[in-house]
Amino acid sequence: MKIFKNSILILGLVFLQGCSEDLLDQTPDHVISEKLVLNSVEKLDKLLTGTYNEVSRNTYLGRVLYKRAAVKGNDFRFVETTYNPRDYELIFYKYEENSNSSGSGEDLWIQSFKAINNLNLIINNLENAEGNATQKQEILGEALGLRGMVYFDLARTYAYPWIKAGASSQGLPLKLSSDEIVTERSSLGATYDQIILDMQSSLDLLEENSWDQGSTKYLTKTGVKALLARVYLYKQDWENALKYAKEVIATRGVDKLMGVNSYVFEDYNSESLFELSITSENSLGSNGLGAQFDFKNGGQGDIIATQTFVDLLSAYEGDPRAALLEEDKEGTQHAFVKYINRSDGGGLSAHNIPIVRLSEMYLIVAEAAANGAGGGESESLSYLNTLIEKRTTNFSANQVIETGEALQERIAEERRRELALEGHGVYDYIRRGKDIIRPVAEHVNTGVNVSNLNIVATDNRTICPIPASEVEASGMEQTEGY
Amino acid sequence: MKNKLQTILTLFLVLLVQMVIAQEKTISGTVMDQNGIPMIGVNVIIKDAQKGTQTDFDGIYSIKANVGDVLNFSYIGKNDVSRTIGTDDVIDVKMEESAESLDEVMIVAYGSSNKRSFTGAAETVKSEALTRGATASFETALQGKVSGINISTSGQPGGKSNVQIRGIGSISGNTQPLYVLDGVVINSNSNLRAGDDMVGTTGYNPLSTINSEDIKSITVLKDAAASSLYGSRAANGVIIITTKDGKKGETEITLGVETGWSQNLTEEKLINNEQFKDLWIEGQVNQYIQNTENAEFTRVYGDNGLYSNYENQAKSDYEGIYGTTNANSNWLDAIYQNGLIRKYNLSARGGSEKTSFFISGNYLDQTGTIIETGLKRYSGRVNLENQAKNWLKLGVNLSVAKSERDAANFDGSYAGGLNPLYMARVLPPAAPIYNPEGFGGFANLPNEIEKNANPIGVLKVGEYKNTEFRVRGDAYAEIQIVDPLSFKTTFGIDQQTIDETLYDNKEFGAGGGIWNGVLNRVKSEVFQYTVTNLLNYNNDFGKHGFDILLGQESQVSKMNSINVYGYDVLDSELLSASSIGSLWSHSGYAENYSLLSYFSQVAYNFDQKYYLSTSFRRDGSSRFGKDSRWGTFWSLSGAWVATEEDFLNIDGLDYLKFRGSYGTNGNLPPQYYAALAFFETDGKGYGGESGLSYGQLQNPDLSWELSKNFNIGMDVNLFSELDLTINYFHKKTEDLLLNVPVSSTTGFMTQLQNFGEMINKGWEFEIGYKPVSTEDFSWRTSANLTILDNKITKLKNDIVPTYSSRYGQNPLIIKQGESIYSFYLRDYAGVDPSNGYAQYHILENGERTGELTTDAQKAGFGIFGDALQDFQGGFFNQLLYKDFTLDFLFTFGGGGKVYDRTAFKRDDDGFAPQFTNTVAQLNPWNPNNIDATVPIRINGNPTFSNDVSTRNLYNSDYLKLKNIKLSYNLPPLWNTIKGGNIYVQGDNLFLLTELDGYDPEAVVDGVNFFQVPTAKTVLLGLQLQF
Repeated sequence: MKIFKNSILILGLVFLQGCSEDLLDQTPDHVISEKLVLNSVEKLDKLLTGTYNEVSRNTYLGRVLYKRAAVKGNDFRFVETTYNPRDYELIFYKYEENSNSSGSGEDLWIQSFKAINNLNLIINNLENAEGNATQKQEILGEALGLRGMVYFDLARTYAYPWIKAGASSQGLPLKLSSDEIVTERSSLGATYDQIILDMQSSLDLLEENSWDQGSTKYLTKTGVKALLARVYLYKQDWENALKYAKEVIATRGVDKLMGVNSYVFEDYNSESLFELSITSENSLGSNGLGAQFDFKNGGQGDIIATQTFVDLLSAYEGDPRAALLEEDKEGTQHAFVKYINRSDGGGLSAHNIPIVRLSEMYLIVAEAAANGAGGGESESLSYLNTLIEKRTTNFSANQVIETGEALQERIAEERRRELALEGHGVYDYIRRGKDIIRPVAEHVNTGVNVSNLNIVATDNRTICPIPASEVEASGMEQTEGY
Repeated sequence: MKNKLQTILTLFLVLLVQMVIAQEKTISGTVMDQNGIPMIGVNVIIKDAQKGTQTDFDGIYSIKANVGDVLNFSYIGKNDVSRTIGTDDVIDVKMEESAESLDEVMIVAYGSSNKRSFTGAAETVKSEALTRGATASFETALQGKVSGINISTSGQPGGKSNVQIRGIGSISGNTQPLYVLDGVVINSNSNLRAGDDMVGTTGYNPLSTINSEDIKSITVLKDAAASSLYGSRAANGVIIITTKDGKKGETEITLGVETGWSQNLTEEKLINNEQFKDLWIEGQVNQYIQNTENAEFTRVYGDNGLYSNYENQAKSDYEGIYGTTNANSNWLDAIYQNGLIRKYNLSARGGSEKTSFFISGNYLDQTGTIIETGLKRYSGRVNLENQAKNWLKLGVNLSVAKSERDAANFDGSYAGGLNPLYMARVLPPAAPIYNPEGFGGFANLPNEIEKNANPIGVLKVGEYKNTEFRVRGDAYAEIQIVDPLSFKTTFGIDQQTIDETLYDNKEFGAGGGIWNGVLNRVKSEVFQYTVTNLLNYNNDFGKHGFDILLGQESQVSKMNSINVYGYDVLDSELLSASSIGSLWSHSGYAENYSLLSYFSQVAYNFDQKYYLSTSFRRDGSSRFGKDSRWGTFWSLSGAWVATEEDFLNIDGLDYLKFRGSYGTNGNLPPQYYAALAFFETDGKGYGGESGLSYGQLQNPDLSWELSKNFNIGMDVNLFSELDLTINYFHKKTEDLLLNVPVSSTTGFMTQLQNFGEMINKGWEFEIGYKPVSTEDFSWRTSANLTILDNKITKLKNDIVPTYSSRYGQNPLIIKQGESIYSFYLRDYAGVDPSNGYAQYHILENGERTGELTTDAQKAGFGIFGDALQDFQGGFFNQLLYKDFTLDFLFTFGGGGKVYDRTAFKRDDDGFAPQFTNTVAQLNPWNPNNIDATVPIRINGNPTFSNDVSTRNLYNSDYLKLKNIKLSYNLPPLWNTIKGGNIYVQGDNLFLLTELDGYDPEAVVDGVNFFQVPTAKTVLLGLQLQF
């Protein structure tokens, strides 16, 4: 019987030991719980840092948006099929998007909202988090500015341009808080209002720039102004576009424009207003931006300049931008290598990514003024020529004197030369209502269907459809035309 | 006189003989099993007399009996043997395994039972069957042997297998059964949770570190009555592995040696260099015509001058890439080889009155049919049991194994330079393999396809190695508290240490160019421990029998890993982490889970005639959401042995039992933290600072998948020689773990939720028969058949596939009302003879409208069958003649379909002209060949003719000679060798099926896409007993 008693005792102990429910709380150690992050300003600051990382991923500004903009325009093309290009963004080049399939258009959508959700968490929780008030203000300012930027990139990619039907076009679902579910699309007007509101609020919160080397890897007051100028340009609010662009120029001054001899696309160059830092933490290698255009060192080099663009670059004498052309995969001199791998290593696509530069401000002033803002065409010519003077050794021969439609065309051309591969390409056509005309001879054997070479500005395929997965999951309204 | 004497002598002799016969004499002999191994403890009884004995350590018996008496030999698990005593004093007996033994011990959940009293659906497989495969792990040998179980495997060294019991149980969750080793649930996670998804070696098999020679038996638990005691993890069935134990008596030593060769069972037929060149040029000409002549092929082909312009242009394009001489490369020959297998096994078992032991050591060295692949395994086992006190039994089972596996990323779902097998199967014969001047002697690829990923160079110069060190074991104590009440406590461990080296070399593929080599070093460790306490009460009150079990269990698993990934590798021979020049990432993390359970089982029987059993288990799991942490699972089952009834006394009907069960099981979420909201830190830094990003939406309601199982069955034995088992099952899985699409505005595309329902139902038949059984010759045959139907009955949204230019559209759709692997395709209608384009029947809502189109975008889609076989089974025969045994197993299936997705990459009508084709692409349509069955070939083909359509859909009905073995029993030798056998065996020797290069038993979802080919193996073996 003693055995029996002892056994019962042992049994009891064993059962009691096993009963602890604490055993069932297992938490990972490589991730941080929600509670810990949302109550601390320090951690929310890390969340902001992480959001810059998300913005720099290949599915957003790290590749897709810029590459898409380039291959849908007139100036770049895929190499011929026999040179085995990767299929990244090929669907955009071929204008084969449809409601069921939009290639990396789906990734761009998700990645943008991933960034927006991080920003919403910051914006919603900052007020009650523990920490320094000045730091809170700085974080909130950057977060709002970034949210404006991401919504703007979404608006110009997934909604028809302002010129098509103005404020009444279909806009975006405006998810402004972390816990609400928004699947209703706002009007384009409401979308732009929100973008502008975010950016304006950001301006009110941010301190003046320090202009320390490397400081433009974060969104600064001047950076927000520059983006705002761009937003107004897309919204065809010429006065405001001109106003903010000029404010930026006033802050920086003409001497910050790179010149013929100083035109080097290095990190944090003098024109930098906002750029993405790409270092080992967020480098993308062959999936990154630079490797798409640069064939050297094992890069993909799948995207090369068209003859049209090469001709455009050779218009000015001594244009430093023409010097960026190198040998490409097909053996011609059509690789446009704006993004150069850092000389001190770091692999492929080891370069910062410019988001907005000073030269664009000159072009915005020129365009806004040519459309009647500020001092009109004379002001337009003055700003445009200021830039051109920095891009040729023979200014007098290339000085712009045209007016009217011809002036508009010169500005557009200058944008193609100056801002190539910086996320403008196709957007610059459609926001101005210009068709995309791609010569047959420049696209032979590149896999594109001949009937998809000429695209009217209002064609649905100039913008991305709402991804099928989104429509399927949330019933979100598809864009008209898809 | 002489004659007289002779007569007398003869008479005397006859008398003498008669006298001897009438006398009681001593009969002796040796009892052996069918392999010629002496059997200890066989009961030898004189029929109709109360007299008997047992065989000794050497299988020898001796008994006094009279001539004319009948000796009856019996042993559990063997067929009884009877011999009438004649003139011989020596009667040697060979005992054969009985096909069905009703009273044989059968290991089941947390205990044992026997076939007679067990109320569930379960099946036991013995070691002989398990060691039959040429693969490293045992489970692959179950295919075709057990009904209701389907195993897909490639037969490559240490290759992954996919085991399904009674259909596919889940869409996004785990579909593999739970494995229990000597009573302890082992970690059978095939996800290493350590390496990088993209570059990691794939197809890791967690069971390959278990030596199949150590296994005594396997029980497959199929229905709720059998498996519900395992609660939240049992929805996909349970496989219980029992290792060999010791036994009293002289130590018995077994030595086994096997050696063999393997080749691919199937290989596709590819075009040669000249054919490639012709197709390429034709495609290029057509591309020019398409792009510059408004696709007016007939006009241009009719205009000789114009045509030869383009042809010359195309030829010069070709020569610009591939040169003027043919390389005549055979990439398949270069990447495939003859595999070799060597296996050595030494084991000993024995014991004294109180202690028994089993120890074994095993070495396996296998090279695969792909170059630079192989597996080396060293393993050892010690099983000990000691009767410490009359009320206490102590024991330990411990195994240690080390495996070294070479296998690159041969993942059959990824197509690109990092997958050398894929590359070798798509690269054209015009691309040279070798170049004496090239790096390591290998050639660069034309146009540096996929970053110059010459697959032979990738494999030969790179390194993809995975070593695993695994310790599994348990220690237990069994206490007899008072007679019918006993207590058993078990402590089990499972420790896994993984070390992975993945090196993309400096020249070919991902490590080439500026990277100067890419190296990924991973170390990870998983430690799992389990504590099980069982209280057992087993007593009979007259005709009422009770068996009651109360149990408690907790299991904790802790994993941690360190992963270093970088480029600029110092030297191809120095692959330590310090050889990495520049880091891409360094990461490391821990992942843990825990389970806490209480359970009980009550079994009652009346007079061994009526059986009733219930089980109950409550599981709490860390993987569940905080609002649904505990789940309850139960079962109720009964059985009636009808032949025990007096009214059912029919001659020849020896045994008839009816069974029925109903109960619930669960399936855990595969991810450990799927319920939690959290922020990620890994790889979220920016501008020199560390960062965070929202990593997962929380789901506090996340819980188990619930499967509701119904089973009804019967077991019959007729004339002692025909066994029949029939089961009908219906398994409904609710609250499916499903990656439910959510609005991307949340920042995520899907969330793991419990949503959806699926039904697997069907029939299982097993029949065993022994047509002939004489002393010298016997023939045993058995067959099994499973009829299975899978249907998704509830889903939030159909999961409709989308197109990607890298893979085309996924041919599978997940749709309510359809089977899980249903094919969603265009309806191909052959080649339009007027323009050469592929044409389709236009489908609207899956129905033909009667119109045809050549525009793939307008063709529409419909469902055309599914991948799961409607019926599947095995057919086994064993023939014994004297000391020879021949047996063979055929497996078969029918009613399923296979989609050949390789067509998108290879038989693509020129879509990707840099890749080769199979011979099916020869003779495409052109204006001079308008009756062609292959559409027009255009380089960079924009018509989607290579995308999903019924053009690439095949039947996957098959018949396979899974296994054949001829063995000869060796006689005892030199007093030391007690016996043994020598054999030759073949695995996967032939296969009949419609699609070339495809093994229906290697792929679960019916999508053929450059999977690792099945190995066909021939083995020679020798086994000796000492």
